[in-house]
Amino acid sequence: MARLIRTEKEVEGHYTEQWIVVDEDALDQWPAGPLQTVGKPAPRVDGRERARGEATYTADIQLPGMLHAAVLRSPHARARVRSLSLSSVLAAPGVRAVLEPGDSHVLTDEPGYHGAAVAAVAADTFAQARAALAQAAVEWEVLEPLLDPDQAVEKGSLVSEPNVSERGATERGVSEAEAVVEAEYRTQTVLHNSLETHQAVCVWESGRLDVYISTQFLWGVRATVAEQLELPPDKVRVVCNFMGGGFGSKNGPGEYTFIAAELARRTGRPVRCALTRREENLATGNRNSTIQRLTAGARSDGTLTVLKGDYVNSVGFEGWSPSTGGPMELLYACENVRVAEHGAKLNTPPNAAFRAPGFVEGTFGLECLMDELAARLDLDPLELRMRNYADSDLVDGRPFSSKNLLECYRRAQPHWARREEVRARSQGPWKHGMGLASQVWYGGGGPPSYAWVRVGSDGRVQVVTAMQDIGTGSRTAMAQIAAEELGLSLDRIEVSLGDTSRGPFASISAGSSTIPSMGPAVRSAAADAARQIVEIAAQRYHLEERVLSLRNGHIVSADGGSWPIEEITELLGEGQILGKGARGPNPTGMRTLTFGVQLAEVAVDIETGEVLVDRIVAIHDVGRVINPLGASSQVEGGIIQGIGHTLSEDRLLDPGTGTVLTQTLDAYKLPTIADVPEIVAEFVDRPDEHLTNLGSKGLGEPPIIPTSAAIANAIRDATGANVRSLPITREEMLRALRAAREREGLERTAETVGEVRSA
Amino acid sequence: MEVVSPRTLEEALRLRAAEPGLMPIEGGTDVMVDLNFDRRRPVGLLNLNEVPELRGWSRDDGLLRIGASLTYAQVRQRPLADTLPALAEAARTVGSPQIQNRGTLGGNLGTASPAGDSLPPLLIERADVELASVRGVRTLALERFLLGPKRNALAADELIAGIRVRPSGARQTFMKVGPRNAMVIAVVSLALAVDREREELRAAYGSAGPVPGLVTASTGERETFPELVAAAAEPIDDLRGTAAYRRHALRVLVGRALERCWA
Amino acid sequence: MRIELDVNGEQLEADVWAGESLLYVLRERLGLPGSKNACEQGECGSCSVLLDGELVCACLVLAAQAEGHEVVTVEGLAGAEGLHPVQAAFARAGAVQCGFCTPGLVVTTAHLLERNPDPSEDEIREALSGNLCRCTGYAKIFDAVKLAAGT
Repeated sequence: MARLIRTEKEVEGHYTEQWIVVDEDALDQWPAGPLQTVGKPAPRVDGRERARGEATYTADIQLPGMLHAAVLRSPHARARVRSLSLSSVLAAPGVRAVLEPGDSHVLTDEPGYHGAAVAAVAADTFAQARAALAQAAVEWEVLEPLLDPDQAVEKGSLVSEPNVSERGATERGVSEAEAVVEAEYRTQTVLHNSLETHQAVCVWESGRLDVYISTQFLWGVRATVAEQLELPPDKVRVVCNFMGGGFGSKNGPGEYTFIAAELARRTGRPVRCALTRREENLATGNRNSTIQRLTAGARSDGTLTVLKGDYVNSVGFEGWSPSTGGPMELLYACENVRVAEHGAKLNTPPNAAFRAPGFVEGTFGLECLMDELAARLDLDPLELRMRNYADSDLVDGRPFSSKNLLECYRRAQPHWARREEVRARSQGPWKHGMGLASQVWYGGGGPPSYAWVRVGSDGRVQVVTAMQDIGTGSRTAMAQIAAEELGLSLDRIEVSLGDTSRGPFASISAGSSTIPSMGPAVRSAAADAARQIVEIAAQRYHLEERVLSLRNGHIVSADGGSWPIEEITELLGEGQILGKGARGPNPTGMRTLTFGVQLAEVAVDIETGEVLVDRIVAIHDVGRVINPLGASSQVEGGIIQGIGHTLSEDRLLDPGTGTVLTQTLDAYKLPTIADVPEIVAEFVDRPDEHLTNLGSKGLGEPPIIPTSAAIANAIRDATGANVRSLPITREEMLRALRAAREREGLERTAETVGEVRSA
Repeated sequence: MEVVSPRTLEEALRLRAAEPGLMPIEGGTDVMVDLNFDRRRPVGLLNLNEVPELRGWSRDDGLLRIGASLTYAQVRQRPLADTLPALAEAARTVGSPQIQNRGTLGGNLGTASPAGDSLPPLLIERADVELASVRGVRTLALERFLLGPKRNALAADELIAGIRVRPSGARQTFMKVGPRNAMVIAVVSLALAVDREREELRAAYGSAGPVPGLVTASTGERETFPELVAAAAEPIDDLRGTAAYRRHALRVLVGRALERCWA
Repeated sequence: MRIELDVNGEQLEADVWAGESLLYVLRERLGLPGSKNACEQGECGSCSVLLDGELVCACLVLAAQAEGHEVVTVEGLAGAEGLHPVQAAFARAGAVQCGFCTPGLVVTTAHLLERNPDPSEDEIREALSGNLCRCTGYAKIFDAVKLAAGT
């Protein structure tokens, strides 16, 4: 039965309260542990197409008569267009149409960041479009950019009201503390750099717009495009069969879609607007840099008495202020916590969600601070974390739907015990050490989401839903879930997704929500189909439905009868069995979170400042794991992105002009296979008994969250240096080592003075 | 725009003289980036891939002649790698296998980047550059060929035909500090030779001055050599690192390279 | 200008603009989109192809330079059907996530194993260091290379 509820919906740590119509979820969860298909490693169902180079990405779409767009972008961080003439652009070879500010809401004559779209052109080839744009006559009035985030906060240049939340009394917490550490941490701006750049192909056909786009949310693109272009949503069809990575940056349509749509409307031809790598690194979002001024206080036994965080997010010209203080609020059982987040509006490219936005940055600060506190208290860092374990959500007192972080810590212990052995490897300038960090994040997903399951007379199954597989393996996981419910082998399941006109509404693939949102809908659709198969079988074999079930491709009865499923499905002839399923509600009054811990082993060359990550152990609690092969791959991928974030990736700006200096992949350093450490990925793999018919949470984001803090803490263990700023370049490492030596010198002097005095 | 693909060196030189606007292209690892990024729009391209005289290497009475089209991958192969070991080490770090298979020594000389990986190893071996034109062939010491960042002494009608070098046989090595483990442009690089026969230490740095620079001293100056090299460098602050770090890293690398090559 | 190319054993002709890369011509003019365009500067390896048996980035080869030489792309590794052992290993080992880098990695691995049928861990690292993958974290790619080496 459809039920109307008022509920909190969370995406990427954003909560909104809304009315929502949900279907009841009547299915019991499967037992824990590996089943027939679910819980067992499954290679990609589409691995063959991808490996053969046959998978058609948006980048590969070729339509008859298709034109190519190029975009004129602001070369200045802040400027006004005094005059713009596109007449010679329009006259250039191959050009079919031009757009200027006013022709589309995504084009501006007052750009607020380097890379803001100003004008666009469509031509027969991209080279012609680009060459034509070079003919544009633009007169700029260059204005002074605002680049300093602290200054922006001071001036009140913010993207939203500061977010301040407090529980307990932090002043009392400070006075009760026997040890207090205060430190300032900084994280840099990081770029997503999905290998497929942002792009769309738009085609108008009798008042209907087809949008082929590399996206994480077909339905979000449909809604935004329809609203902006004042079309009924059903007049917009959004297609994405294969996409080459997004990591949070492809949640919406982006300016390129509107540029392609408008140019396609004007020319009556399909238009591709595909960003180059350089545009990608200017104008498609980023993980914003942060400044974090943090305080932690504890009693000598390690009990936290206070946590305070003052955060500045350098959001950019637009965007939103992520929850950088989230980990501080959620991770530990501390009574007195105060978090203040400021989203600085600057003349820099806008941020976008990037794999656990806010929490990656905030966990770096918090978990380094915890280790500095442990050092001050002379406590084992793991012990300090266990002493402050939170059994319920202290933000609003809600119980967790499930939490197995203690189990993660328990499993970490044998790895943590290697610490002495790791340190003993130090030799010459190379110092070895080990560190750890905890992880908390959302990842429970939610309604609405729907799926259909179609069974044909050949006993093959098609799962139909208009979701997208952004590369994480959603097709495979959905096939596994349907296979499990129908008692069929994986090769009999096909998943049809990627097209809003060929399936029901499906969730965004962001916020670690695809499996927890879509999986239960697919299972419930498969169960609906299974029920119908059983109903038909009961009539065919003159048995009661309750004694029949589907297993191993057969219909089996309680008394030992067994019939191949085709015996029933072939009765359908040209008919089909249609199952329908929906994602049920989230557990009421509970907080659903994911947890984990990572341990890093590093080697630091204290002469050159080079840091090598030797080994990372990741233990995560994300409820039931559907596909251990895909899950470990997600963990490995998150960790290597985390290593890039920690050691090499850095979007740099010219400090005077605010222009982006790192637009290409020779300047912006992504990790290569040579940077990969040994990675050990473990899962607690216990279904969350309160969450949906699966008990599964999402895993896209958790693995990147604790990596940088674990590495920084390992560096401290190896060298005694506090690295408080990312990335830990050679220079930053040497700076931290110098600071550590100076501190040690001061302490030694102080000790000597103390000794002299006491003598 | 056009592409011309001469089949002999003579033909190439004729085309070069007739049409100085043609941009020479060998492996394309630098030129193609400029074209792809629309940074340069030459009137045409002079494809040197089909010129046999630029390929391979030969040895005549201790003098090596290396064709400008020799790729990094070929530099890494024995016996050439045994003869010029620091150059072979540099070739290995220059970039990915894909880059090593296409990028050429001639191209590296032509680009004349302060970060050009093949340049320091050639400097410590006191290599000469062979420049050809319809006017004839001249050789120029590499030190004199490199004029400034991305500037060289090539005349408008000349092509880089090859490199001439008399391998010293000295123990030598190449080292590089980069911002990640593989395939990086250097923050700072170093080639160093301990030449017992001539009782000479030779070091050449990359990415630490407007051009890669050569520093020499007698073997008796081992202790002060790291400082000497660091002081001789003229690094700047840029995206990849500060001048202070480059000088520091150079000092460390020289110390380590000396240790490696002293025995 | 008109050029003739030998791609995957077929003689193909294309009208090209002189400055076009081999990658552009393969993808946009010859209907072979398997090689991917992701950086245009030889940093990512997504466009790796074999040119006379050598591994190269198609984005750094002038299309006209490939005239008279043999080009093999990901589409030419296996027949019209079926999988090259390296492709099969990538699919089986879970080395494919979004898959955008996969064609380049498959070509690079096939080239590696042809020369070195049993590469060490370090040799794999070196040989694949020019192919960026943003999703997998490379661990499963190691597995795939080892799996393919064993087959």
